[in-house]
Parts: sequence; C-alpha cells; structure tokens
Amino acid sequence: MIKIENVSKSFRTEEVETFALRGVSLDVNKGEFVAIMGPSGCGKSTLLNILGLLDNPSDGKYILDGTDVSSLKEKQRTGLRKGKIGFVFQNFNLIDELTVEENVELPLRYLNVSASERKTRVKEVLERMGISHRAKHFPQQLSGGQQQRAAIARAVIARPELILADEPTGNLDSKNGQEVMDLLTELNREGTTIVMVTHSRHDAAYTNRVINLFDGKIVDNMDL
Amino acid sequence: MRSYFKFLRKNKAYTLIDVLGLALSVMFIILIGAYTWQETHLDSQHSKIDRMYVIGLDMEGSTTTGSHWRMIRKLMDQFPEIENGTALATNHRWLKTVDGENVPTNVVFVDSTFYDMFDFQLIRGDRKKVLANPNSIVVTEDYARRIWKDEDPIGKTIIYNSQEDPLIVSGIMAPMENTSIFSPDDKPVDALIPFEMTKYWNYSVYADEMNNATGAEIVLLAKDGTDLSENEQRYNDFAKEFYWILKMPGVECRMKLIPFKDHYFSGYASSTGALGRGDVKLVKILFATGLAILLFALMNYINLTVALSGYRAKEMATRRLLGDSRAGIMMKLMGESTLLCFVSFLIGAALAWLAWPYAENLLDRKIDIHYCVTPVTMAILICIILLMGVLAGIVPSLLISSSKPIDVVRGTFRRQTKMVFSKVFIVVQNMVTITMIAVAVTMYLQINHLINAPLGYNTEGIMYIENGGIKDKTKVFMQRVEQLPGVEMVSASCGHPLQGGNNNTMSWNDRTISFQSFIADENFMKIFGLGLERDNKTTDPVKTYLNRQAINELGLKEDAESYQYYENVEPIAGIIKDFHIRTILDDQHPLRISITDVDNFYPWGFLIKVKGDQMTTYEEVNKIFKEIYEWDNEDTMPYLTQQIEERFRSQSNLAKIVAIFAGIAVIISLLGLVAMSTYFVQQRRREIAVKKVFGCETSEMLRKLVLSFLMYVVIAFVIAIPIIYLIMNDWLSGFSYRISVYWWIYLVSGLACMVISVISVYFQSRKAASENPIKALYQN
Repeated sequence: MIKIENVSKSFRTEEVETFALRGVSLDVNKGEFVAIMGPSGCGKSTLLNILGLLDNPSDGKYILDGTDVSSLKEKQRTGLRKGKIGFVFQNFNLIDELTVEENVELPLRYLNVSASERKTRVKEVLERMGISHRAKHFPQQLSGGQQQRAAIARAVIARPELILADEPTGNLDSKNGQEVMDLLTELNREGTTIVMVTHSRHDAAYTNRVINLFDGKIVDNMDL
Repeated sequence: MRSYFKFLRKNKAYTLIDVLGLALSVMFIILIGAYTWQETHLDSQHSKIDRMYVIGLDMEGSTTTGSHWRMIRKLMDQFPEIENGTALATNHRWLKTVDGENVPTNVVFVDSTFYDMFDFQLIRGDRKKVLANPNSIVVTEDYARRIWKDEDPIGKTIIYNSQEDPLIVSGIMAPMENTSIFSPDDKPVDALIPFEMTKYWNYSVYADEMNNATGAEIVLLAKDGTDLSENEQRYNDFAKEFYWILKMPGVECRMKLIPFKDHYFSGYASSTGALGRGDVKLVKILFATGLAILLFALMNYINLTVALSGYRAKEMATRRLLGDSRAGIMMKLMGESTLLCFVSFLIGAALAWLAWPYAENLLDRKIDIHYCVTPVTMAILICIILLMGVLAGIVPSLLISSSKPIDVVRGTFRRQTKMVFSKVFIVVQNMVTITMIAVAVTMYLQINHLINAPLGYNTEGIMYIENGGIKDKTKVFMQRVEQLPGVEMVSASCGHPLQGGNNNTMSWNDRTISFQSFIADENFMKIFGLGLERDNKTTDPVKTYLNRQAINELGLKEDAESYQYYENVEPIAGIIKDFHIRTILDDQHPLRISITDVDNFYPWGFLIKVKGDQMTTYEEVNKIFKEIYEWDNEDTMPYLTQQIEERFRSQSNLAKIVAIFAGIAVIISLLGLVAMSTYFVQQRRREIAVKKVFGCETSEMLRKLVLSFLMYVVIAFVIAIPIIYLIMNDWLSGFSYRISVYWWIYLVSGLACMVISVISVYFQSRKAASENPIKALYQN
C-alpha cells in the first residue's frame, strides 16, 4: 500500500539546514499495524506527515497505492487525503467551537455526504466509541480519554484505508490509553492499515511491526 | 510597563493601527472642538453682551435682522430701560489717498457709541471720543502700514466722499477677532467709519424718512436687570405709529428683540451682512462625525486588544499566581491604555497643528487658537484623554484580568476569546461607514442639482462688472468693451436675475405687493435669453414688462394694457416668461422689467456676454475699466456661473467635509478590518489546519473566511438602510428644490463597503488558507 524509497526531508532556516529524514526507505502493506519509534527529534512525526500527504519529501519517492505522490501540489494532496487517510493526534486537535458530533462529521462534509447520511453515520460511530451521550457537548467539557475517542471517531467516520496516529495515548492516563489502543487494534483487525508514532513500548506491543528511527534514519525494522 | 512596551514592539501592526487611528481621531476632535468652541463663544470677550439685543423683523415667517438707524434714538427717547445703542452696516469701499491712489477697504459703519458697548481693543485713541466726529476713521495697524508705511497714521487723511471733506484717522484698532460682526465676504475689517457717512453710500440708510427698513443692524444695550424682549409688544405698538413696515395692510410684521449672544445661531438672515450667521446644522454634523471617528478608533483599539488578550492574559495570570490582585492587574492595564491614548493625543495634536490652515479653508472661518486655549478647554481635553483611556481599557482589562492562575499551573491555559464584542463593533463600524458614504453621495448629488438647476435664463459665459461710478463714462466703457474680439454683447442694468433688483412694495386692494424691479437696456433680454409670453408692441421710450406672477397678484386680465403703480398708471409692454430670481431656493416675486435707453438711468453694472476665452476676456475688460474709471475692479468671481457656485459654497463645503469624514471613517474602518481579520484568522489557525487535514480545499477555506466577514457587512447594510433614509430625508426636506434619495445610493454605499471589506480581509485569509497545516497543528 505504502512504499517510500530513499526519502529525505530537510528544513532550511537563514543560517542552517536541518535534515529531519535521510534516505529512508520503507514498505507498509495493506492491513498492517506498524509502530514508528525513536527518541525525540529523530524524524518520526516528519515521516508521519509525509505519509499523510501533509508534506512533500525533499528527495526520494513516495508511492501510495501504486501512484507516485512525491511531488503533488497542495490541492492534489488534499484531494487524495480526503476519505482515504484519517488522523489521530496526541493533543486531539478537536475544534473547540464545534460540538463533538460537529467535529466528528467534518470529513463527511468535505466528501459532500448528505446531511441525513452524515447524521446516521455520526450516531453509529459515536455509539461504537462509547461517547454518544456526549454528542452535543463541546470538547472542553470532555475528559482526555473521551476527547481522544472523539478524535478517533472523526478519523474513522469516512472509512479510510489508512489511519496515521501520532502518539495517540501521549496525553492519557493508562486506563484511557489502554482503551484507545484496544480501539485501534479492533480497527486494524477490521482491515484498516495503521501507522502509529509512539514512545511507549507498551503501545508498540499492540502492533505487527516496529520501525526504529534514529537521527532521521531507519536503524531497525522488526516484526513482532 | 516594560512588558507592555515589549508587547507593543512585538505587535507592530497592532501598535500602528491603534496609535494612527486614535491620533487621527484626536486631530479631528481638536479641530472640530476648536471650531465649535469658537462658534459658540463668539463675542464672549464683551462684558456687556448679556445686556445687548439685536432688532429683528418677523414678516409672516420670513425672519431678518435689520432696521433703520433712526430707530435707536426714537426708542431710547421713549423707553428709559434702553441705555444705549449702535447701528452697524458694512460695505466694501474704495477710499482714496491724497495722492489719488485707490485703496480697497472693508468698512463697517458704526455709531459713536460703538466702543462704549463693545470691548474691542483700541490700540491708540480715546474710546469715548474716537468716533465722535463724523469725519473720523479708525483703522487697523495693518491697513495704516499699507498706506502710510512707517509714518504716524493719527491725523492723516483719506478720501471717502470728496477731497474737500476727507476722513481723519482718529484711532488705531486691533484686528476684530472672535466676533460675529463681519465685513463683506467675511474678510478682515479694515476700518470703522461713523454711521453718518452712509449718506454718501446709500442715502436711504441714513435718511429721516426711514424708508429703508433693513439698511442697518441695530444693537441695543439694556439697563442692568432689564430684559428688553419682555417689552417687545410695547416697542411694536410704539414703532407702528411711524414705521411703515410694521403697518403694511394685509401683512403680519413684528419687531423682535433677539439677545445678542443668541443671534448667531438664531436662523435670522442678516439684512446688511454686518452680522454673521452660524450654521448650527454644520456644527452638529461636525460634532457627530468627529465623535463617530473617535468611537471607531476606540472600537479598533478595544477589538484589537481583546483579540490579542490571549497573549497578555497568560502574563497577567502568572502575575496573579505570584501575588498581584485582580484590581491591581486592571489598574495596570487601564494605565497602559491611558498611556497609549496620551501618546496618540500628542501625535494627534501635532497633526491638528499641521492641518489647521486646511481646516480653516474648508470651514471658511479663521479659527483663533488663543480663544480656544482656556482653563476650561484644557480641562475638557484632559478629561477626554482620561475618558478615552478608561473607555478603551475597560473591556480588555476585565477580560484579561479574569484569567485564572490555576490554568497556568496546570498548563491548560487557553488563548481563545469568544470575540463577541469584536463582532458587534465590526457591524457598527460598517454600518456607520455605509451611512457616511451614502450621506456624502447624496449631498454631492443635491449640491450639483442646485448648482445646475434650470433658472429660466442663460448663465453661461456672462460676466457682471459693477459700474465704475462715473455716469458720463457709461457709454464710452460699453462701446470699448463691445469692440473686444471675445465679447458678443454688452448690456447695462440696475439689477439682474442672479443679483435681484430693487424691492418696491406698494399697497394694493388692502394687501401689499412687493415687486422685484429691474431697469435695463434692450440687450438685457437677449443676453439672458428671456422670452415673452405676450408682446403688446408698445412704442413707449420706457417699456415695462410684468411676469405672470405680477399679473396674477394684481388680478389683471391677460391682455391688460396698463396697471396702477403707486400713484401712476403704468403701461404694460407685455408679459415676460417666468424665470427664477437669485437661486432656485429663493422665494419668487412679481417682476417688473423696464427696458429703456442707457441714457435714461444710472446702471448698477454691466452684463457682458463672452464668446472667447473667459479669463483673457475678463483681463481685457478689466484693463479698459482701469483706463476709464482709474481704479481696479477686484472681482475674483465676475462670471455668473461662478457666483451661482459661490451661493452654494456653504453647502458645497459641508458636502466636502462629510466626504472627507466619510473617507477617514472608511480608512479607520479598513485598518480595523485588516487587523481584525488578521487576528480572527490567527485565532482560527488550528481550526483551519484541522479542516484542511480532513479534506477542506484551500479555495473553499478562503471562500468561507471571506464570506464570514462579509456577513457582518450585510447585517450592517440592513441596519443602515432606515438610518440613511431618515437622515437624508430630514436634510433634503430643508430644500424646496431637491433630489429624492435614489435607491442606487443605498446599493452603491453597501457595495463600496463590501468591496473594501473583501480587499482588507482577502490577503490575510488567503495567507491562512494556503498555510501548511502542520505548522498550526504542532504549535501550542
């Protein structure tokens, strides 16, 4: 599903050029649950952003489902991302001014799904996440665990083939973290490919494969 | 304060917009304040002003100040509560030096009691004696220097009427400032001449018979503790015995006693021009628009400070965590806003200083700064600065000081604010901007409508030159001018349609008819393109034509051949087609036009139809004038079209002022909108990023951001519509000849505001919509 070949990413300021990724090559097959680990600043989130078409590599190729998407324009990336890739962030990134159900239905709006169908699917996914009783509440009224479940609901509502999760349990206590990992495992079992950035060995144990990054390079690629 | 200065340095756009907006508004407040203060405190330097009254006439709703000079003595002799009085009349005269040089002089004719009543400064001369001699003249230093250079002017002579009877300089006066006593065209007064000398200028103003009912302004001084206006009925009953204007059959006419300090805004017309009149509407409009601009600037400040409050709130929450009280934080923030207002005030004052001459030009009035700088006005200014500081600071300080220290400890501090105030302010700003644009457009259209109104006679290319004063030279002058290549035709006349003629009032069947009477040569009708409805084809040497209004008021038949004019039977040469006298706004009268040879009358002036270049022809005419009459004709507006525009100068100036204010309001509004859109978009950065991650395209995002701002403009437009209608309908109702409030004015104003809003938010919104979402997502 995902194939990246010799991908590098550098960031240039006035004085210095920083390489976040250096010659990274990686395959992810459909249905895999992959963890990307490494110390802070090793390039994990940069790699995830490239995989999620939020950024283009400076060098190398990124082939997604057989298509080279390495140098797409922003509009093309948005078009591809829509409905195909879901995101879960460490700090949830829910929109404070919208209710939980309004947050969750956002991806469907951009896919021009009708209002009635959106309503049905939102209800379904919130029930599945166990937070349907919080549908009309605002994010700041929810606990951390509930917010992350809302974020996962938003990530899966469009039934994407790929979910990218950046430290999904980073801001949660162990109980809530456990619940989130169980949810992600369930989704993976249903066929969703998941690539997850994590610091936690405990969370990495849920995955099929762990890729270790160090200084922008893959140093280890281990099946579990 | 250091953290505040750092914050200002870090947010340069915020600082610039706030300071610029506040400084501009302060500039207007100072200029308008100075003008308004001066206008409402004219003549305040005269200690007896509370006891002074001006005589006015109320003739069936038409109100004028004016009476006859002889009225003073008659009233003083009859009524002991009247302590003193002076007459005032004004004229632009040509005086002559002993060497024969003509000197243009702005003269006010006054009584010998003038310096007893008014406290105008006399630099040299005895206040009690300086105007006692009818042949005396009091001049300004400037005027004296112009004629006599460094010589002592006291005792010098200058010719007013004849060489044998010169005027003698008896005193030197300081310039007459801060006063409602005016000279022609509001130019500075050069000289005061005793009222007796009016007999050489306009005998009817001086004569015993008191036929000229409005030849002078009369100012009476009441004894201490007396209110002359309470005795109005007694004065009327007394004056009716001898004063013809109060006893015209069928006409209600009353003498009024107007307190001197109220005459300026009384709405009474000045019959002589010696007493100026203020425009209370202008003062109100200036005040309202100045206030609107100040409110805009304050709104901008509040909006922007609230938008940025998140950045300051964390600092304040930390201070509270370390021991400061909420009240202490609020005082600190209010102090910061007052400091910013004070700095803006200093810049605004400097801008006002620079803009002073332009303001005087626009307001058509000299604004004397030293009359405006008083302990009261300074106290008012300090209060304004403090009030500005409090008004600007109270909302942000309430918001910012409410942030909880616990949120800092937990790290759950939120930078967002709901920005409800901001949205309300944006709507209000847009509403006022749309209204001001609509008002400016309507005023401009109305002024144009007045200036271009069809008057029923030609006005293009017609010059009017006052008679040089020597009867024998009339025909010589006319013949020389006729020969100029740029001249088509010349006519001599007493009066013309724009100027008006003689006012002849006669009794007719228990009523009174007031004719406007012109005397002119045969070219008069051709020059103005005046046609006849009926031509009786008489062969009299003097052919008198009446207009339709005259025929109707006299109750004559269509084919009447004569009518009773005073004691005479006057033949009617025909009926002239109606035309407007003076401007489209003036009341119309029955007309008499007598056409005869120029040898049979003494013309007031000459009408010259120009076919060539207007400027060149005027210069050539002036050259001939100087050769024949030996003095310069100084008219800067000889053409009738110029004079028509001049008649509407005050309305034109008002329209210009409103347009300038509308422009400033638009600029401040625009600045506010740019700043608001910047911070509005900044606050929604994360939201925009999340939406983009989940598939919202840049173009769609941009459209939504711009439309969300345009919504405020739409709401503002809807609110503005009835306001525009009410304001403009009220203003237009003051004109007898007027436009309607066209529907497209609303549309144009709304669209203009919409375009300005789109431009101001577009670039900020595009930047935000195009940004890579990662930056916003991974920032705190």
